[in-house]
Amino acid sequence: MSDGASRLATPELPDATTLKRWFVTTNHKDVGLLYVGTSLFFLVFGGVLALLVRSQLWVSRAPGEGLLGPVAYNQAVSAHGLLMVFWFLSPLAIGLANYVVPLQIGAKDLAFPRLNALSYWLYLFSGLLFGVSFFQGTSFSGGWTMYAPLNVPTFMPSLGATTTVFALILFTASVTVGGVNFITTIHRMRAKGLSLWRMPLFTWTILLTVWMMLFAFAALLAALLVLSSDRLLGTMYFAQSSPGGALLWTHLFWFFGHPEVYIVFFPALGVMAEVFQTFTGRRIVGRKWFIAAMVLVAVQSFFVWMHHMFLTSISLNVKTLFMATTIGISLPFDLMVFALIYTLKKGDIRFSTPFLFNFGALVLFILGGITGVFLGAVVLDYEFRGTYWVVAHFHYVMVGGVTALIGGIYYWFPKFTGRMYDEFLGKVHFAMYFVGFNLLYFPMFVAWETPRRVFAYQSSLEPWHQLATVGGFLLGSSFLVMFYNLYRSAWAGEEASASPWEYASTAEWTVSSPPPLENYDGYPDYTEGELRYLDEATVRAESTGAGGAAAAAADGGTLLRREG
Amino acid sequence: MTPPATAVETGHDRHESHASVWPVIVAAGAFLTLLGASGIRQGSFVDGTAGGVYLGLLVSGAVVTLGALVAMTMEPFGGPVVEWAAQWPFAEVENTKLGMWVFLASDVVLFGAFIGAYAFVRVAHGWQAWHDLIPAAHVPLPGLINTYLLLTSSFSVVIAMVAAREERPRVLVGSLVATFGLGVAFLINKALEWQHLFHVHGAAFPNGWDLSTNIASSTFYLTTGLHGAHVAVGLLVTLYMIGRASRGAYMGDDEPIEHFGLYWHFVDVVWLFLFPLFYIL
Repeated sequence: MSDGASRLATPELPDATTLKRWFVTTNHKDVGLLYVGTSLFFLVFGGVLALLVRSQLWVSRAPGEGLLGPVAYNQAVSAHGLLMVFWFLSPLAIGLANYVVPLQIGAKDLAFPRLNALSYWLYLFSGLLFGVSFFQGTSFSGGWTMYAPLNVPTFMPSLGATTTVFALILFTASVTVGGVNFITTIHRMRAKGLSLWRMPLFTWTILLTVWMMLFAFAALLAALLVLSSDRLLGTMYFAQSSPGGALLWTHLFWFFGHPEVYIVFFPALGVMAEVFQTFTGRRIVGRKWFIAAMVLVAVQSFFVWMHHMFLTSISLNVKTLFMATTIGISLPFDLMVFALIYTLKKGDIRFSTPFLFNFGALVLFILGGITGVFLGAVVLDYEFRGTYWVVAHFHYVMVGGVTALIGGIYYWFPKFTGRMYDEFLGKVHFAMYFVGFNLLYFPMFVAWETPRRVFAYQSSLEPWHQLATVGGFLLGSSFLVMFYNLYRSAWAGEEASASPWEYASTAEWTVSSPPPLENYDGYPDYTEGELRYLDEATVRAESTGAGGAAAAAADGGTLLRREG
Repeated sequence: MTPPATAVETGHDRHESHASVWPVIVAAGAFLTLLGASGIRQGSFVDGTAGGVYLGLLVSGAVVTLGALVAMTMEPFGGPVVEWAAQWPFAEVENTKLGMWVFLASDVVLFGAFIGAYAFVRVAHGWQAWHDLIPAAHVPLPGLINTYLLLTSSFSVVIAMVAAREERPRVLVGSLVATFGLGVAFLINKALEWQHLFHVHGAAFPNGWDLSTNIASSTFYLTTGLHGAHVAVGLLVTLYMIGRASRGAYMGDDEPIEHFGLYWHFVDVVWLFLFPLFYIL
């Protein structure tokens, strides 16, 4: 640092063992770990709420019976949904992306490191704001879809409900800042020669995810700002007297909400693609088609939202159109699923923990996807809407995605920590997780006639709900095994080499575990078709063209451009 | 206190920074601000001590957020340097400018959703019957004046950019001040217009025409209000740049002004959609 340049001079980065480091760091690997850790905290938060819900559902109850009162139950269900979708699922994926994407594309960091730290802290504080909402009367209690007019003060006067809406607004700010950062980074900072076609699949899924996030969350922000204004200032958009107010909310929410499904699922798909390739030792079958299918889904995801509104007053012609786009969007997914299956068939599978989780994720996603096609058909949806069929379906899809991301944590754990997790405990975790998952969600298909969102149902369905509750506790406790395993292994695990997986092929496995602060000593380069590292002189020489290395090196500054 | 001319200027040839304390403080400030604002209901804070606490949280949160944002902007910070990269399809656009474009793309969707919501409820109510919800005092003239004010301010931003490129400090400061003045005039004009509408009298609107009067007033105030908030944010940035420019910054370094200009033009273009929608049709 130049002497006294500014009182605001950037501090040096403190050592990783100090607490201060984690408050001031802007390094993408640190921020990634912060994201992963915080998202797991919200997994526990949302998970405990889910266990409360499952306990209440042990038998069919009248209001006032059981662990939770009616309003407490509504809060638990709403907060569980919001926390899991917004504060756990996406941030876990973004955490992995933060760590891995710059390494995979050969960048030293994200384009705007301070904005990256900012998006993490906005995320954390938005979650804290959500937590505070429970202490302001009641939190939001109208379900994660926050339908109008239930969401206006007439029906939900509590200040805590407003705070929940604000928490989502702050989260949206975090997402927008993060999205701008990732889009700029992936488009502008790939190693030379790493064309989009050659880009690793996990990075591809993140690129598409952040593009979808950028637009989808802007629509959500509009909905949330209008709702805040209705709650704070007394505007009348969603009031009962408003013409089309309730329908307006569903349009705004689901224009965001359907892309959101792919926003949470795509990173999981990316992890599946990476892990399948590494643990079968084979490049994914039909790689270009796989990428094209994902791009198609990302675009089409903005044209299917009204399939969430088949029971509203939209016209039958529109419903039919959206049924067609919805069935249509399942076709590229079929292609991806078959690509993954053929990769298994042609490869030589190694059943390590990351693979088990990702294979499990594929199985669960197939089930979740097929049951979703039922809901995409207008006539069937008339019957299934508002039942546990929907609940079972989207948990198979969403938590199916979680399964792959958990596999991703195991996959990159040696890279994060430089140590290996315990393989046996990893397999125990998977066994408990997979059995618990299916015990929890499959009975919901069988007991599909249970009405959603309430805790009274036909008592003949009680055995199925009791099975589900047992499965829920098994699924929850499987994470205790994971936490123990990862915590212990991070300090005492076997030391991991730069590439502990034999057939790993992406660039993050070419640097030490954990990687140095600025990732690469030289300049990663793919222009010869495979990864090599150039030194500074070569880069100078090649980028100035004629003139030779010596002259270029002497004239160091010319090609350095200043970046924010 | 002026930051160094280049963000990476240090004793060594090049240095990447990895630490900054401001992101966590900005986020903490935003947390306090929103927690404070949650105490508002129907336009005013809840009664009693709680209302005072909420107001205090709101004010202190806003001060912390704004202060930390300014400090973060002034902090010299060297991000990663792009030297050897594949950049299709954005090879010609440097990082910060691309970031600004991407952000504006999301803002397009934000305003698009607001305009879509307006069109949706207006169609639901009846496109022509909508006029019955609006007092005769709601005339196009204030909006027309504001259109000219904003258009002119977009022009003055371009002059500022050229002045920075040609290293003419007085022209730069002058045109930034002109931009600021035109933006303030826009907001004052809007405030006068709103004040007038809030207090209209007449058989149809005996209690004035405010946010809660009907759905037409709600959409009008909220959508143009969101736009007004964008103008206000732009004015804060202008003020910051006037401060730096008057101490000699931006000479031969017109990129920051260009990036702000992108935002300012966008805000201008949004108004060109809002004006016909809310004043003429």
